[in-house]
Amino acid sequence: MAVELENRDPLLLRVTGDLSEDNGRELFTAVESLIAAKRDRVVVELSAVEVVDSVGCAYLCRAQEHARKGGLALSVLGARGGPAQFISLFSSSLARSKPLPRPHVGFLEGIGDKVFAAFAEIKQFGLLMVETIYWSFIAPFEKKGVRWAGVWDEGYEIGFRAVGIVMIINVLLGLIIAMLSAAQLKMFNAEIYVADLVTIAFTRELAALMTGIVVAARSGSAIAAELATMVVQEEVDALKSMGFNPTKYLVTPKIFSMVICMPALTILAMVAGISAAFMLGVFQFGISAEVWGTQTMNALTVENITLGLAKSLCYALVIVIVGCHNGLRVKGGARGVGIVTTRSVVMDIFFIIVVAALFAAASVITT
Amino acid sequence: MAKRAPILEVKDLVAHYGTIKVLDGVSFDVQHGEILAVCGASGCGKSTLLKHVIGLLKPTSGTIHMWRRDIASLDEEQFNEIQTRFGVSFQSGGLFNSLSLYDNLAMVINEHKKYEPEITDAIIRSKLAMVGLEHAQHILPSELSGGMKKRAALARALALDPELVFFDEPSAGLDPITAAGLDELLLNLRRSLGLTVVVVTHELNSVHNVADRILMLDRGKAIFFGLQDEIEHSDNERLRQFFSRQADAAMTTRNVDVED
Ligand SMILES: Nc1ncnc2c1ncn2[C@@H]1O[C@H](COP(=O)(O)OP(=O)(O)OP(=O)(O)O)[C@@H](O)[C@H]1O
Ligand SMILES: [Mg+2]
Repeated sequence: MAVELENRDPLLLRVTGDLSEDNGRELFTAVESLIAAKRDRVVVELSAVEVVDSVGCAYLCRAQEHARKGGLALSVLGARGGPAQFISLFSSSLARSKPLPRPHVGFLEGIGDKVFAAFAEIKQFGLLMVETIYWSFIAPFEKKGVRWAGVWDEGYEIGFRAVGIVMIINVLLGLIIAMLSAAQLKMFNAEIYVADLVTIAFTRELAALMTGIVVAARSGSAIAAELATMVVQEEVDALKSMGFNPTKYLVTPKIFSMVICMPALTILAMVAGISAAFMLGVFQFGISAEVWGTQTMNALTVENITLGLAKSLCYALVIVIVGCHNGLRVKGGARGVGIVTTRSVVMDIFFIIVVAALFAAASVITT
Repeated sequence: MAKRAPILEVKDLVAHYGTIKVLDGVSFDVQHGEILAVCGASGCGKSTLLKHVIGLLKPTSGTIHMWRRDIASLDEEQFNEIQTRFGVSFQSGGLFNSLSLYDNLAMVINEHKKYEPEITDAIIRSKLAMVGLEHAQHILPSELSGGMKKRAALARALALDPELVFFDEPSAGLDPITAAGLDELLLNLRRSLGLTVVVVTHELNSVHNVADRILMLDRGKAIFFGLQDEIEHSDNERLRQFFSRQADAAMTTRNVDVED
């Protein structure tokens, strides 16, 4: 045993070898039992200790504290050299370092904070929107410049690289809708009207919606993550300090490329969905290409296409502003970037659906 | 001091980032209880050297022995065991930003050891106080100043009582008083625990105060490795320039070098 109790006056606890985890615990239990036995004085003798570590010191400090509370006069004697230095470093540091309460937010305070935070966020969002509109649609006409280089780079990433996935998704969706509706219309021998249905649905609603969702997932998240990382690494502060307006330099190029790419992708999506239905009609339902084609062309109205493109423009603005808004309000480090990225995609999809609903409501009211 | 086998021995380390050669045949060793300062101009490969030595990056060629074991030949379990014997504080801190300082230390300790909660608590509080952060226990790293992050990273590197610690510029961004305090802490730990330290630093003062030996890198090559006093007698131009703080006449030429 490396912790020995010598029964003399005063009582002596002698530690030999090292004062690390095992001996430390033994020392601590020995002191505990002395406290329980209501002894009034003990000397901890460390002259035979050669090595100490933090765990041993922690046990020693804990024993001292318990002894003080339990009315046991405990003195530590005899430590030499390195161990003595480390024990004094450790215990003086520990004495300086009082346990601090963890920050804790009460329930009602929590609700209050959330409400204030929500208002603050709405204000922030509004400001960003105003700034974005100024720098994107007003400042260029006041000859304050646009960073076109940024626009092309972003356009390649946001637009060109999304073509494949947008086409595939819309072809599949076109097939699904055509088959679903054909199954119903077949009962009236009216499969030919599938052409109208798919054409109207895609031009007016679905092409823009599906493109919006794909772009939100691809680029909305990328925008949020990019800006958030820039904030975390103090790049945005650096921009501001050098007199660059972050909205002009970070948000505007994305707005321009998104405003160009989204309608373009939406047109491709319309083509994809309508041709998928065409293929199905001709090869599956056996309707002649001419008949299906004429039917489709009749359903294809300028009004619907314009409406679809208008929606896609709105979605474009939503995706950029929501992405930038979330990116710029990141808090903390890597974890914060993850949180705002997720949040931005969820908000994107929510607002896209809200905008679609507003358009639908508006068209019901006006007709 | 030089009697025992070296704790760390690096031989002919060559390292590349992609096709660019960053370290070119660096050799040095560190004895038990020694403080080695790694110096050199910005961008000469000091951080890269450190990342290779601690096994984060794999060298192109050359060997690294820690406690006489070749770290390239260790499997994951053996390497984990070695990892608990050394501590690292990275140039940019490397703290977990989503955890408070207290939890940063707690996570490291609880991952490797099973101490009683009160003991872990005492160790964490004491280590934070050693670097002067006793008032910042529950603060997130993102709410700290640059120098405070440095000190917190140091506390975390010391959390497990390592035998060997690597510090990448611990005193960069610190005021002279705090920096001297950290030097004092290193010396104290070396005296009391026999701690071995490899420290990357530009601070000539702190090199002077703490270092036993100095490794000087220049453009990926070790141009000097030896005791402090030997520097004065060295005939290497760059070396004397560095330690006498002469403004660099070669600055422009060097930048051209780097670019091509
Ligand atoms: N991840 C990386 N990929 C490619 N090259 C890198 C990478 N990290 C560093 N380098 C290059 O390697 C060289 C050495 O970098 P290193 O970070 O080791 O320098 P350093 O000596 O630590 O400089 P400092 O004192 O400024 O911290 C530099 O020229 C740098 O450009
Ligand atoms: Mg470095």
